[in-house]
Amino acid sequence: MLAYAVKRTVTTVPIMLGVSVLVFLLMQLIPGNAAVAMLGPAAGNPHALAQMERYLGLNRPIAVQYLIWLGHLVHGNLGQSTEYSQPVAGILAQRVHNSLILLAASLLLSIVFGVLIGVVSASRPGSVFDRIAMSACLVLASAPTFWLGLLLLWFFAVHLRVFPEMGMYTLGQHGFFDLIRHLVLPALATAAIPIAVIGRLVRSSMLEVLSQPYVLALRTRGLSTLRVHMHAFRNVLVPTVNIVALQAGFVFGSALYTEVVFNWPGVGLLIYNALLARDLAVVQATVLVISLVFVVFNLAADLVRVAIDPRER
Amino acid sequence: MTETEQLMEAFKAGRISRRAFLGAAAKLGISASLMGSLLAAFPEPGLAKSTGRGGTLVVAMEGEADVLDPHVGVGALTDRVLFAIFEPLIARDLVDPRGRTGKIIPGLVQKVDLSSDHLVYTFHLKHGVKFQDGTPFDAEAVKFNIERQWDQTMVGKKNAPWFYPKAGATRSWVWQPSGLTSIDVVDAHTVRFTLAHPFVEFLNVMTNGGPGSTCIMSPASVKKWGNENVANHPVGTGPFRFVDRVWGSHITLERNPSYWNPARSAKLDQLIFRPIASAASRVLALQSGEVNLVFAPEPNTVAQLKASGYPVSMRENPAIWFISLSPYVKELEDVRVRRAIAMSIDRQSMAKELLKGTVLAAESMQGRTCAAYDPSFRWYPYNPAEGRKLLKEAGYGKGFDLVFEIPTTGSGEIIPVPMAEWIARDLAKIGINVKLRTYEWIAYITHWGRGLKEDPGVGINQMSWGGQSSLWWLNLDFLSTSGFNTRKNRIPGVDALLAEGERTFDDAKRWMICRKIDAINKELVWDIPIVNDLAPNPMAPNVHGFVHTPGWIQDFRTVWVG
Repeated sequence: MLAYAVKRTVTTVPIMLGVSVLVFLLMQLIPGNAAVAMLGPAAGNPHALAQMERYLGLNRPIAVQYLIWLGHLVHGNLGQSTEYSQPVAGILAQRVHNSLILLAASLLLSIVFGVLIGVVSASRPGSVFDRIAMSACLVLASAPTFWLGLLLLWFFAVHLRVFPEMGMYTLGQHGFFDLIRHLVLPALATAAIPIAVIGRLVRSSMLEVLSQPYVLALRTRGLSTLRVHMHAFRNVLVPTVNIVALQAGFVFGSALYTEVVFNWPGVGLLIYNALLARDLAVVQATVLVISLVFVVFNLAADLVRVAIDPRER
Repeated sequence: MTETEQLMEAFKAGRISRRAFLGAAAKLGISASLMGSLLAAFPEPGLAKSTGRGGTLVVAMEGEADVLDPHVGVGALTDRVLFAIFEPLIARDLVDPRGRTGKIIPGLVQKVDLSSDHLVYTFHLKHGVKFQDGTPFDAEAVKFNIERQWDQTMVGKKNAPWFYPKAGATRSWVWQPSGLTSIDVVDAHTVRFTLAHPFVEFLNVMTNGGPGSTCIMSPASVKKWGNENVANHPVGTGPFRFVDRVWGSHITLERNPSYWNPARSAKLDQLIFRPIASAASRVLALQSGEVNLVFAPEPNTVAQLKASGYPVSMRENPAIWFISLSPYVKELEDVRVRRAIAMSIDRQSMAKELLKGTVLAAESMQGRTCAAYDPSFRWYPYNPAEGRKLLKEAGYGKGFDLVFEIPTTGSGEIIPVPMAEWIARDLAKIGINVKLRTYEWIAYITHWGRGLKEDPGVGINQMSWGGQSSLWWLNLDFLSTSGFNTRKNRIPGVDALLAEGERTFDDAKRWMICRKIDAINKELVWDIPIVNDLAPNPMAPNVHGFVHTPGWIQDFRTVWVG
């Protein structure tokens, strides 16, 4: 197990390096750079543009720029943000922390509701609950996150006024319960699609397992429905773990909409602003962190799968 | 005593009338804008008396403010924060609800003397002004600030050790054309600026925010935190002082209790700026009570907010949303085609129906709050039948295709894509088939900055801006060699008029020159003004004393909440 974990961890290094090269090249392909973003229409002044590009090192060859960035990275330096005039590491650490809070809450909701909906629907296929749940999953999976977010905001924050409208905390407060109040709506909006995806996958996997001969054997031996379902669910865990890991990466990377709508100061909002400002150092570092989260969650999923499925050992 | 000083003394002592003073000043070759500065030797206007004060104003902004460094930060959004903390040498009165243009008032100077050759400006600084960190504001502080942003290598000199290249780049469009050759400390409260050539807009430009800002920072704070980091610890002389900034969440300012001018001190206890990128979320934040003032709401939400009891403030400002026609597209070489386009865009209906009365149909390439703006000047009235006729005369009766480049969003752009679609729909009625090509903002301004010549096949592009200094703005947009002129074509007579304007220190004569340029543009139709944004600000009913800016910079000192 340990050897497997180490091997998988080592293979992430070239993946991350490849991602960084790709992002760096993609950033060169889109028109405009940090100097234009900082100057705005004043970039029309060639002297100003040249001076700014020189100061930011953007006049150097692309390969040199990349190697300088890589050199800094090796020394643990993620660079200086052109937009924030601050070291990227400091900005990113705070944002990753905020996004992980949102991710954890969304995942918790996704797993609990997704699995519950899937299992209950599979246990009574074609029932009223099954039909309503699957229709709701279809709607949730198709609903754009920003639209759902605005709807939740309008109903719960403006109409009912039971939850705050934006941010992580009320200004001047940093209490746990204040955080929870702010977390509910963005976590629900972010979890909507994963709940639907997990729910549908668990349902179909459960139905498949429940039609297996060994389940019939269990039933004929007089086991209660609950016990039969518990046996069946163990076999559904493997694909569930895989899809949860994929959804975790998806949620972390795609929380942009939620973060923009709810003004949640996480990596989604950070990368959105960084792209608009062509803040290369921040984009690079943020994409690396998102990739790292993907890799870590998939690694964790592999390890969990090995732990719960004897056939994988 | 110089002639100017003698004149000032006579006026101050009441020996001559205001009319006589202005007439004598004009004979000395002093512009009205400079007269404004000279008059400013008297105390600045106080604020309108109001019964209330205090409270916390939470402002929802369209995005994150730039770095809080007044020599680097760019954009009206950032200026709202910067001009609360910092003050420039020369300012505009943006809290006079009746002033159309935002008249020039002293910022941190008492008065300015201008030499008879218009090359030497002597700034007499105010006494007793202190930065928010307690250090004194004096001539050395001014010199430090200018040298921080003025790239002296442009005039063959060595830069000061505190020169900041980022500031040098963003501010070069002021110091480069002004031809500044030296800045000298005469005494503790007197600074002398020497120019290489007369630059009629020197004082006007100094009132600008963004790339023209002469806001003064505490040199002690720059030395303590360094050029890159001082933006996280901004210290100025303004009516509010910095408390904290949490990136992505808020910027908190509080009233500066030791503000040097009690007659114009802030009424609020706290001023908080919250960046909320989504326009819909900004409006919801107002409705849920989380913020009490909103910038840039979607036009179609304004009427609904008004109906729900939220006051909405709107006012004319220098903004012009305009399109430029390419001189490098064959069909557009014919002036009849350009006129046909100009008279076939229904600006009035766009303002009323699409933008719900949050803009006015633009009539001129001068912003409505520019001194040279002529309210009687009218653009072509909407007349598609005449447009079709002109196209036919030009040999394009069957119409043609035209590419229109537009950003998807951007600073002051309102809702650019639906507006471009409106224009495309109007032009389709006369047979011009417009194909829209959209870009994200930074990609767009990169294209726009390179100019239409570098974008073969593109017939129309768009921009939304304007300047309060009439000639300066026209210089940027129309001078054939200007980096900000996307057409980069030489319009007959315009370059010469701009050069003449730069030598004309009589404001009235200079404004006539500006109006001539506007008339030439109407005749030849290279830029088409579409709308002037009224920049609606919905607010909570408990916000009082808000005076909508006639410029780009919002001044919050009159506001109180309760």
